[in-house]
This record gives sequence, C-alpha cells and structure tokens, in this order.
Amino acid sequence: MATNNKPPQTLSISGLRYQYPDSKWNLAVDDFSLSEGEITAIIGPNGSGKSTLLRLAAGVQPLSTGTIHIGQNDLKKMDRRSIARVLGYLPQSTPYEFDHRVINVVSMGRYAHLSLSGFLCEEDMNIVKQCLEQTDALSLMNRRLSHLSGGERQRVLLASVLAQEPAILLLDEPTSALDLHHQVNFFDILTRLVKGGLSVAVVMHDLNLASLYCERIVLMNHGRIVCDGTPDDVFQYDLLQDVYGGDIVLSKHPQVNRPVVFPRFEREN
Amino acid sequence: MKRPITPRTYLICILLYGAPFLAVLCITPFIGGETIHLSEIIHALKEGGWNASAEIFFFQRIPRVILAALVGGTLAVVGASFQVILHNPLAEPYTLGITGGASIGAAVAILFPWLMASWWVFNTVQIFALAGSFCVLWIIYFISRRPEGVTIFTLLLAGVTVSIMSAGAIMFLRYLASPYLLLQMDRWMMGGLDVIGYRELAALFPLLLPGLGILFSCMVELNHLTMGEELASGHGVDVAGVQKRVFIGGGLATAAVVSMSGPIGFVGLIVPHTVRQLSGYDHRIVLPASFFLGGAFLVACDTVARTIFSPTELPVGIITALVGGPLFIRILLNKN
Repeated sequence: MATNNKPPQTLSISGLRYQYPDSKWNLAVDDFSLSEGEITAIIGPNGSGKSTLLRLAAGVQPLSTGTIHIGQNDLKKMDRRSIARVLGYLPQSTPYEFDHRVINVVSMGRYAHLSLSGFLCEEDMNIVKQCLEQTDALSLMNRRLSHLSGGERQRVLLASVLAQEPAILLLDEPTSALDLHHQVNFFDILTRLVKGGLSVAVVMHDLNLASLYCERIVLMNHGRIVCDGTPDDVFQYDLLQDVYGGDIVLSKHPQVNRPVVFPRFEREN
Repeated sequence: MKRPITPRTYLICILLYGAPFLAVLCITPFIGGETIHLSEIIHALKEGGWNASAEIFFFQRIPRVILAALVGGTLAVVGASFQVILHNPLAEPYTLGITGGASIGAAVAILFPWLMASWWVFNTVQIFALAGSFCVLWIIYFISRRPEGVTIFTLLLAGVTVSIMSAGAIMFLRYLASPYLLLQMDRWMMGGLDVIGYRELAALFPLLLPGLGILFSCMVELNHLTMGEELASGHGVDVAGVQKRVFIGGGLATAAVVSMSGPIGFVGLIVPHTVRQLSGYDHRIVLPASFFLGGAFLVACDTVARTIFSPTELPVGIITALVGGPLFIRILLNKN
C-alpha cells in the first residue's frame, strides 16, 4: 500500500460557516474531525449540505469563515498541489466529452507529484498500476472511458484519485448510479483501503449500505450535523423520521448486528 | 507495462506533425500565379543581382507563407484550448466575440480614413482592430468574473452575445459607408493574408508570442480540465488560474492574428478535432500538433486561393470552408 509510509493526517474542521450568495441557506459545522482508518458515511436528505461540506473540506470550493486543518496545516495556506498530495477528492460527476484511455486518466492523479512536463517515470507508473490493482481495474487499462460501464468508470476514477497517494479520501456519492452488486463491490474496495491506513469520508444516500460498511455515520439536515455516531446511534426512529420525513420501519440485517431502515409500506386500497 | 506517453514517443509524435508542416512551408513559396525560376533566385542570392523572381519569392511569397502558417497555427491552438476550458466542442477562437470587436475597430478605421493612428509596427486598421478586441475581452471578462475564477457558462453566453451585438454595430457602420469604403470593409471581413515584406509581419509578434507562450504553458493542465473542474482541482490543478491564463493567452493570440488577417473561419474549429481524431486527447500533443496542422492547412488553402483564379485572388476563408468542410466530414465518417 502506497500510503503506509506517511504520518497519519486527519482532517479537522472548526467554526465553519458557509452561505451561497443567492440564498439564505447556510452551512454551519462547529467541530468535526475525520476518524483515521475508518469509513465515515455522511448522510442526509437532498440539500442538507453534504456535498458542500465535502467540497469545502477538499478545498475545491473556497472557504469564507472557519478553519480546516489537514494534520497541522491550515488548508487555506496550502496550495492546490500540496493539498492534493494528502487529500483525494472524487466529485459527484465528471464530464464525458473527451474520450481518454483509462491509463491516461489514472496517470493524471500523479499531477501533484510530477515536474512541469507531466511525464511519468518508472516509479510513477508502478504507483498507477498499483492503484488500478487496488480498485480491480487493471484489466481496463487500455480501454476508453466511453466503453466502460458505470461501475468500471467509478473504479477508474477512484484509482486516479488514489494515484495522488492521499491519506484522506473524500468521495461524493461514488455509488449513487451503480447497481447493488457494484455498490457492494465499491465498498469492499474502500474497506480494503481503510485497512491500509486511509481515512475515508463518503457522501451517500443508501442508509443501509452506510450502516453495513461504516463504523461512523454523520447525519446532516438543513446545513447542520444533527447526529454523529455509530450506526446504532443514528438509526433512531424519531431522528430519521424527523430528518427524512415519511414513515419508516427500523429492523436488523439478517446476517450481522447492524440496523437497517425501510420506508413503511401500506397498500392503498 | 507501457507508459501512456514517454518523452521519446512524444518527440516522435511531434516530428510526425512537424515534418509535413515544414515540407508545406518549403514547397508552397514556389507555387503561384507568377512563374518563378529557381535559377534566377539562386543567381540573385549568389551574385546579388536582383530580379523579378527573387523579388516575388522573397518579399511576397515567403512573408505570406509565414503569415499563413502563423495565423492558421495560432487559430488552431486557441481553438483547441478554448474547446477544453469552455467545455464546448463548437468553441473556436472567435466564440468569445473577439472577432466582433476587431471587426468594429477595423470598420471604424476604414470608415474614417482621417483617423491616422499608426504606431511602431502597427498600422491604423490594426490598432483599431486590436483596441476593439481588447474592449471585448475586457467586457466579457468583467461580466463573467467571480471570486473563484470565471464562470465558463457566462463567459460563453457573454461571448456569443457580444458577437451578435457587434454584428449589429457593423451593419450600422456599413449603412454609413460609401460603396468604395464598403468594398474595403467587406474585403477585411472576408479575411486575407496579403502582406508585403517583413515589416507588417513583425506587427504580429509583440502579442502573438506571449499569447502562444501562455497557452503552451497550460498543456498539462488542459488535460486535467477535460475531466471537469472539480476532479482537476482535486488532482491539484489551480483551475481558476489556468482558466484565466488560457483566457488571456488565447485572447492575446487571437487579437494579434485577427487584427492582421481579419476573420478566417473554420481553421480553429476543425483542426483541433482532426488532431484529436488522429492522435488522441493528450493536449501536450494536441496543442503543438494543432499548430503544425493548422499552419500547414492554411498555407495550403492560401496557395490555392491565390493561384486558382490568378491573377486575382480569392479570399482564403472561402477555400478553408469549401475544402476543409468536406475533409472534416470525411474524417468524422472514418471514425464511425
């Protein structure tokens, strides 16, 4: 694992306030830090501020009030390249117009480590290959992006972010467009990665998947963190009911002791 | 394990585009309406005896070929870069309305001949065209500027709007013009590469060189931007900075070229796409290859334009569209 030799770096946020110029909606996170070597799920209804929080934390969107630290370093004072060397960010969507080969896309992840010319040396190439292996995408190396399925595409993009050799991964709905099998497959890969020492935060909509794969779940609503804890802490009837609206049923996964949730079903006749 | 691109394969690829470019540059000065004799040119060089062939060759053909190569190459490079940062395959150097501004400037200079403003290497029409271009660049930059960079969508719409407004303004200027001036204006709007001697050519460089330099310094980052601003930013690219550099570099280069040769369409649109079809989407290759292919293409078209109805000349824009269009469609069909 390429990240083993790095000192542990955590992401911590304090006193964060953010408001889009054209609305009253605002995001306020007073104190939040990412746990090391774990997958943290960030869940909440649409418009609860999950993606905005992630973009601010990744430094992709400029921060107005508050501080974000990566290890000892203030994110505001770091340039993009040095951020990219410790923090990987996978956005919700990427455009398709340019039909690159997989190997070229993953190589792009090395940008922050390269000289100006952007040519990869042997060592960079080994890292790229390793990242493709980690995401089960090595066989896709010479394919074109437009010839990949949704699941393959997400694995390739993850590999390109891993090629940055980050200590922290922030993923924005990486599995929302995938079928059940590929979602599980993607989270299996993430589970392997966190065992190697990575800290991962995933914005997601599938609560049951979050419960199964994540030790820690952060529930957001109206730009605030309303609950932050284990799946059992978050999967409370009143809490979920209140945040998501609509009636729900809580249950246990048949195999493992993790809570799951379903919408209440009543036939209308 | 194959690396995506090594300095060696890169160099070979550039040479494959560069060699035909140089070949076209060497051959085309010998082609034209007036027959020129190689023996006379050699004679002139050796013995210093000046003659008609040498005069045409050195002071008409060669500067013109150089101008066509620079204009074609620049338009293609700017087109390739704008297509990436604007996320629009239809983008070309003129998308941002620079030509509109330049045309207004040129039209004003032609309409009011008493506006003598030549300075240094620039003549009056050029100076007004440059001023028009910079006004447009400033306006659309001002409109689409945001704290986190420029908004691409606004930039695109502002550019198109400014183009349409310019068209209106030019129609008004045409309405004012006498038939004789009208003809002059029309000739400018059609674009042309007639240049005599090297002094005019020199007027290209003060803006063109920095412009192209800036664009070529963004090649690696352009690759990242093809995958979207957010992923690029996550990979460590200073997205706002790159957008700004491409905007300024492309603006300078286009203004330089348009003020000199008027609007010559199509090169900036089809050449980059052709290069991408031929050799992929790595912009470290696309940019220089576009320069070579665009240059060679415009030199070839201009050779046809000045030869086919000799002794009169066709505006080169007619040839680029009529020859380039079908060629481009052929390439698109090949892909499928």
